[in-house]
Amino acid sequence: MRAYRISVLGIVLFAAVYPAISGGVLVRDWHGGVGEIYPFAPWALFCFVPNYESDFAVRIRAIDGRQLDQPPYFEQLPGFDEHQKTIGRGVIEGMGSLAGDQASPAFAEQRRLFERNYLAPLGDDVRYELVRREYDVLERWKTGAFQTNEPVAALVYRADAEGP
Amino acid sequence: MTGLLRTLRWLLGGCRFNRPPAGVFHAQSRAFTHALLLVRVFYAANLLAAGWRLAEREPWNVYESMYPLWPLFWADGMKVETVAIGVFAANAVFAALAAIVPTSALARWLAFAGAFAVGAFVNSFGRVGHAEHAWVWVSFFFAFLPAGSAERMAASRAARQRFLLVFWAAQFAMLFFYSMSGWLKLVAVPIQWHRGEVCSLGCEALARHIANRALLTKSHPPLADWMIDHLWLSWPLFLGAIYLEAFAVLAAFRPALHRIWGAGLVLLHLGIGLAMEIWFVPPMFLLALLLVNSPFHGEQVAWREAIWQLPGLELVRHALEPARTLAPASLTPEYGAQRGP
Repeated sequence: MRAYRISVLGIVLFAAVYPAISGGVLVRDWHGGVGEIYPFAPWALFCFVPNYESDFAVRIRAIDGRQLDQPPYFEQLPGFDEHQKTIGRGVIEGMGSLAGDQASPAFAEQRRLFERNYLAPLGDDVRYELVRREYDVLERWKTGAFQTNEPVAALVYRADAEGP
Repeated sequence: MTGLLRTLRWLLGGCRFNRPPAGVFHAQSRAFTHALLLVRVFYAANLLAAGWRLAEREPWNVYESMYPLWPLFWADGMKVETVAIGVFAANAVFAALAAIVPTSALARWLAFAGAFAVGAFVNSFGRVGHAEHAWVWVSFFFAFLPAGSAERMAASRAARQRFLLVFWAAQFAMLFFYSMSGWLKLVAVPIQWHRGEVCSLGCEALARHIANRALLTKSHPPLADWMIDHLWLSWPLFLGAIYLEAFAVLAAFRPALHRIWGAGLVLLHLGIGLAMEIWFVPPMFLLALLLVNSPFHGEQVAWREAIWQLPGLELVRHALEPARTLAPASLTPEYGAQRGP
């Protein structure tokens, strides 16, 4: 009977502690801005409906010295599956949010992660831009148009460099 | 304390309409046998998933660098390929052990450790996804199941009850996660409404989510175009999804709703997959296993009873039917009068 009561209390504790940990304000800055302490997910999925959105994107300008006529965005690159693109987009957003201080270790960490996982397969010398875009979701879906499209940083990945 | 928890359960469970079945000890024995089988199926499926991951580990080799979550602190700077094979192989061994002896607490804890490490690994690339979380938490709760032979537990009413409680905790945890997601969507409604934006209750809400997802990933989900063009369908579907998510935790306390809620959430994930290319396959399996096949549910869906227990409708029933008894179900004479092993 004692074990049963402890089990009941354990469930009550779980229901009280889980939201406190996953939704805690402290979590936000923990672990380099990932925003949660695994495995305590906040489950804030699709809470805000995208209206007039802004995001960060990566646009590839040149690969191994060859300028690209129509520079593709990261999500338009072939060779990456849905899972890789989703993770890659998360890393780009992380880079964008830290781009105000490009000398910071946090920015360098995100940049290193992105370049080694996504740019290294493209070539040894990749020139790219970090771009901030603004758009209305349904309008972009119908016409492909962005309201604004501003470069935030021009960056270079070199395979032989020690680090970014 | 016990009285408080009992009253809480009574309130969440739909009050006087959610009575224990007649022959409650027989029902407990039947539910225990059923739950025992489901636990064995879970560990067999865990082995399937672990073996599959190990065999299909090659896609992880495209990553040259990782950003390890805290359980994998030791892997910082290691080759991704090496970490992948180490974590997946250990998980497969532990999963095999738990599939062979699911009655061993040690084997179940090792299976949890394996699932925990795999979840940490797949989320160690700069963004945390959520397809693995429910699996990790269910394996965590199952680790607390009483150890020992099935025959010994079957002979003890207290052991059976504890087994069922832990099993129910796993169901509760899953439904709790959906409720968190549902209520966070509702919390955002007044914020967006105040800004003059389309909010989760708006008719364009789902269409905008689908369009945004497809634009961000340049994916082409099979139902995306159609759902965006047919707001008359996507709007009620999204409202239904929010209802299903927000009140999921109440369904945990209402066994008559287990099957309906499980099926509803499976279909929700299927719809999300077809419209947005977001595939939550492990949770779909868990919903089908733990809720659609819930051991606390009778053989047949009692539709009339289930409908009246839908969150919101039970309040209508309270208003329509005069109160016969206001005592918590577990304190009613049926419980005390019955004798069992």
